[in-house]
Amino acid sequence: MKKKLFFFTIALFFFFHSGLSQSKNQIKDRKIKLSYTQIYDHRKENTNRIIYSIYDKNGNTIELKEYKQDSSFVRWEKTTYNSNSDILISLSLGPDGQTIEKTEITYNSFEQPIEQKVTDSSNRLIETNKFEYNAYGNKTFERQYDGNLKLVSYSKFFYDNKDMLIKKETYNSKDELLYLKEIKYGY
Amino acid sequence: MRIILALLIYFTSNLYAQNQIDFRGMPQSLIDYRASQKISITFIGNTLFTNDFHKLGFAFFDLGCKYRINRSFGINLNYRSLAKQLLNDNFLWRNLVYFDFDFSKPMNRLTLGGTIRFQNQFIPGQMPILYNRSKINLKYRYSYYLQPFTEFELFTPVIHPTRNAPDQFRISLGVNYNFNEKYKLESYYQLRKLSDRAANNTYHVFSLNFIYKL
Repeated sequence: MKKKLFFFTIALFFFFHSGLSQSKNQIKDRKIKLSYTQIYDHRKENTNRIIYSIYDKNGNTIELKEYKQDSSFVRWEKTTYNSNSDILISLSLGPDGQTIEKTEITYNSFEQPIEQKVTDSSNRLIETNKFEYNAYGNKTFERQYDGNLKLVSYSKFFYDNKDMLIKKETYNSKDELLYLKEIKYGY
Repeated sequence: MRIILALLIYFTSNLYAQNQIDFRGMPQSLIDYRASQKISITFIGNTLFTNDFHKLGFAFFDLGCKYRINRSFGINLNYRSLAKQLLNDNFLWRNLVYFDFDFSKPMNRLTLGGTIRFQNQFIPGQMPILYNRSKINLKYRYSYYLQPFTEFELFTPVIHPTRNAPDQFRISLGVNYNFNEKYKLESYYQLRKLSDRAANNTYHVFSLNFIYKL
């Protein structure tokens, strides 16, 4: 449940952030260093937001602070990237700058993520995700482990002969199918 | 008028040297076994029809191993056994070992690539010959299926008994067609121009390569 919440939060972050801001390339081209965004949503109460963002020279968001209109804290994120603009470390901070959660991602020489580790404020491992790829560079396995490195679930990915994902299966540690997604393409 | 006269003298002097212009056809098959993202084993079977497609001039098979360091760089080590048909219709066998250092840099739909190749040639009873055959290419990804490309290759002798300057260049213009991840067809026209030789021939090569990934 905690893991699902984490991924949902990350997905929500990317969805809203990309919706609100300019693209990474636009920010890079214009050499923008920071932005200050105010959001007023008159459809709902208490949803107005202020977002401060700081960017690196490649247009990546390296720091993001979000507050409500009454200055109450919503979130504070810090992210570091490698030279290829892939996320290396993502920190979720509290209002006083204390680390709440830290996500570290390691990559292979083909710039594909192979491991993602999530630790809490006391640097205790919460979960680990490991990824595997086939000879053509397509992700074939994703394994989720808990804080004790015990397998929680795993996913298998299948592709057609044009490298398009056609099936994803997710199993629990007892090899019971939890989730199945199948896609058919018309060529 | 003087320019026209100069050009006339230039081209007629080339004719006096009896340089040939030859149209050639080159069907080729390549089998690529990908053991992993990093390692591939390749096998190439190639034939070259010369004398305006009338005669089997060359044939070779090639066995190689490719190691991809990362997305941009890779190295190859290949062995090639080549048979050249002589005027008396006998075949002269040559053995080549070559080492490639490949690089590629994608830039949106364009990919700039290149190869630094050192090729060592052994002919029984003769001294080894070492060539630097470096090439640079540019590929445009029009779609998943179609990728037109162009390539320039220069032959520079490093160890050679008689030649010490670039003695051949090749310019290619072609297109790759991906049926899927396993089957690919590559077709190109290549201009081969020899220089620094007794007869500086020009060859027009039409190539059709079938590529199969295991």
